[in-house]
Amino acid sequence: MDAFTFDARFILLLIFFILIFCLSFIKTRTLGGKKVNLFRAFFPSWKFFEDVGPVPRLFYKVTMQGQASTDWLPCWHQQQRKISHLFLNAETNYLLTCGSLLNQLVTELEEIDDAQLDSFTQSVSYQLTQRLVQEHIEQQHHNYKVTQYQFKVSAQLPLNLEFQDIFISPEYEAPHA
Amino acid sequence: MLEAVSVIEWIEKLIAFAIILQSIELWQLRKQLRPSGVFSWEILKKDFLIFPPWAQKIFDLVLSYPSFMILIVIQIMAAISLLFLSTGLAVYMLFLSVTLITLRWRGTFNGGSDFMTLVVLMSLAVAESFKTQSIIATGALWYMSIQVCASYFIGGIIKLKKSNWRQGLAIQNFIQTSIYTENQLTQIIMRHKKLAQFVSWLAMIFECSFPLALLNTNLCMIYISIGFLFHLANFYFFGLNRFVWSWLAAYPALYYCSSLNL
Repeated sequence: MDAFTFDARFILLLIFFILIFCLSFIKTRTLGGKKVNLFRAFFPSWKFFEDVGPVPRLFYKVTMQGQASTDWLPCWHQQQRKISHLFLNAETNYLLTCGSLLNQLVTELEEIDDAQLDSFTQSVSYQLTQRLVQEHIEQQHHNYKVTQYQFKVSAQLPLNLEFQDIFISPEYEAPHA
Repeated sequence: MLEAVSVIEWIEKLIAFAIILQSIELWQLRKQLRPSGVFSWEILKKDFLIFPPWAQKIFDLVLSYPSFMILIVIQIMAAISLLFLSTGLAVYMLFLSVTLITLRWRGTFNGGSDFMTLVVLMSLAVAESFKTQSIIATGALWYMSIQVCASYFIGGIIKLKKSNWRQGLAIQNFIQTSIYTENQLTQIIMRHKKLAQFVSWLAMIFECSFPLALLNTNLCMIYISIGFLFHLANFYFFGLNRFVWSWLAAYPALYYCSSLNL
């Protein structure tokens, strides 16, 4: 092993990382705005897996012709591990992106008041989530005539993993009903 | 004695490989990008109304379907050319295409791996723009190295401050809510709190001490090797395959900087 020396590199690095350590105690303000959000890949946040918190999950229910509506069904699934996923893992990465979409939806919901709920349903996050539900219904219930559907976002609480409803959508006519 | 130029060539090959894999994944998800797909441009373009009309027209031209799929094909071709030839044009093209792709996915597709991919590409673009000036190349490699160290160090510090991490509860919760199904190994971690706590502390100590990798090449190799295993573990538990290849692309910069005498 090379000898360890207190050279200029060590001192500069020490100063730099002490600075980062001290800055980590300062509460930072989250920058908002759509432009900042769209270009956030240029402002790396290395805060991965920061802490446990509620995980938003998507549920839906459908009404099929001549039947009562189903119970709330999960609109997600877990993946099986494969070695090949180390190289190509499209489906998993897509599901993780959908998870981020739900996080963004919940954040946007927390920022509005009740009077703005109507405009919330016109937001991009809401419409993408609605599309996600529609796609899932087409995949899972393509052999049945679905007439109406509804979806909700629930928070899966940390540690006990129970669900707490955050938002329940109105009922919608199925796209191809 | 390592030369900055040869290190940059290695980084270009590694990031080109990472981007080829990323591009193939996006191609596999093309159904979701169609007008009838979940992430339809027809819905997403409302996010871009904040830009002036001329910019909206450009985004509409490039990010709508099927133009976006053509962009992915161009990205693959640029990445393949970078794999075999060190050219500034390929680097600039990839920087632009990766940026456009992150915009298409509302900021990032996969979070951290997009951050690191862009850090690497930005550094390479700067190095390629001033190819005859080795000091710029060295600066670019230092920038990459600092970002790699910061990615671990910041991650470690914020975990160390949380009691859930110190007690091992956080890692159990993240594994429980993972995108992957349970198996024997995850069940062992879930059943044994002390083991979860041990694994948590291992991760935190590794991350917080990572900047030591810059001190000399032997330490650097040790940290890079553990780092690679760390990312493999994250892939195994959480499906984060892209992180493996994006961080691997930046490791040669770290090794180069650790070899320098200041």
